[in-house]
Amino acid sequence: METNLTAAMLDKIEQYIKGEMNDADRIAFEALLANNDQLQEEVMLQKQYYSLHQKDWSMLKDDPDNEELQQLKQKLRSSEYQHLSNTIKKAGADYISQQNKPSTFKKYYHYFAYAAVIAIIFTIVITKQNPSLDTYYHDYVEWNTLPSLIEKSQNENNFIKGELAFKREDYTTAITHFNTVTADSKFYVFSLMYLGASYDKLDQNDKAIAAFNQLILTDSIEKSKGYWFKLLIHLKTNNKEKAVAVLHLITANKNNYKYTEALELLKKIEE
Amino acid sequence: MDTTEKYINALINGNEQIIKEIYKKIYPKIESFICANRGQSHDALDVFQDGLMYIIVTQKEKRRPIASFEAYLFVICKNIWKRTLKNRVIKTDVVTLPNKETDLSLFILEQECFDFYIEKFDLLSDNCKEILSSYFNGMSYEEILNVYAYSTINTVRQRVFKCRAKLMKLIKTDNRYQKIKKWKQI
Repeated sequence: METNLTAAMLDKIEQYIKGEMNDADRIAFEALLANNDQLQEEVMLQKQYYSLHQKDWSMLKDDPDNEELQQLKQKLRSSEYQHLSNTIKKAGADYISQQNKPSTFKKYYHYFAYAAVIAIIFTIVITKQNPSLDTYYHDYVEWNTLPSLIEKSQNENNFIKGELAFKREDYTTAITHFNTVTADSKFYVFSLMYLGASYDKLDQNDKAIAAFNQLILTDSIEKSKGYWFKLLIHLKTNNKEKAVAVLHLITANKNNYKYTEALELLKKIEE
Repeated sequence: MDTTEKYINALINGNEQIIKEIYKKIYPKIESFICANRGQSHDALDVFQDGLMYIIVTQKEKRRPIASFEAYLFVICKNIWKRTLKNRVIKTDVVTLPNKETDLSLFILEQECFDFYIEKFDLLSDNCKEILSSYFNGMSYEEILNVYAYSTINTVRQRVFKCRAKLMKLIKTDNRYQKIKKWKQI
């Protein structure tokens, strides 16, 4: 089936790849995709360029029908290439053994190396004994770095009252104030951050998540912070499934807040 | 004969002395890159040896111009390492662990795809390249509108669409694409 690619179809492809379609749209799109080679190609190319730009490596399948792949494998297994490969390995082994010839420094260096290994083993043992996700929460949580607007504001409004209460660690009062900041206020986005943080401090985790969800729904450039904050709560409550789902959302776009940290954390958790 | 030429010849002909010189000159740099990126020395050695094999396979039958041997080998090793790390994350099936030849063969074809798609992208106008880079990096139409000062979202959307259409035309009219598109991706 032939389809002329339109801007609207391109939008659909994009939504599909980014996982932004609802179930009904996704099922309909996949049905269309199954019978349409041209569309499959467009999706494949779109994915390819996302990977290229987001510095991800696109991998091919070890496909028995891929002729070029099979030819390459045969070539690498031929005696000629095996011989070259052995030469490279031998040169490498010689190089390494020359580098490792003991010198006075290296003799002592070994003691440091042993000490380092022991330190690493201890770290591993300690980490293994405590695989709980809430250690990551404690590593990352830093509510004291939320933007302070006290000095920027001339008159004392509810947001400022809330922030002052938050700083006094009077979280219940803070919540009362932040809840009165309305969506049309320029303080709204920040009040949602503080609101979530206050609920977190009081261990009212569901309410904290609700506040961060509100933040995600805003149009603000700060909205991606909502994902990160929500993640912290999932880590605290040891909810691996939800934490991983949020991490996938953060790592889908490198402009997102704490993209690099999320990438590292995702690897650690999934290991 | 310049160094690049000398090193490629040494690899193709299996000249052990000069290959050792390559290790001495370039290996420490690759090793420190890999050790700084979640790897260890033995990983670095594997990657470096695969990088050298990659050069042999791609240069033996048909020589392709390389500006700087060292820079080229570094990029190849970086990509091999990127692939290895990704493979570690997605590989859960230990039973069908592919062997070294399979991994290197897959990498060679993946690098060919990579080079092909980059080459086609580079043929676009500077404006298209800029806009599509932002778009493929996950920027929304609204963010592109703000960065490049377009008048409406619809203008941005049309611009992205046209640039992407140009890119697809460049790709699809190249004969090499007929071969590449048959290679199934993970």
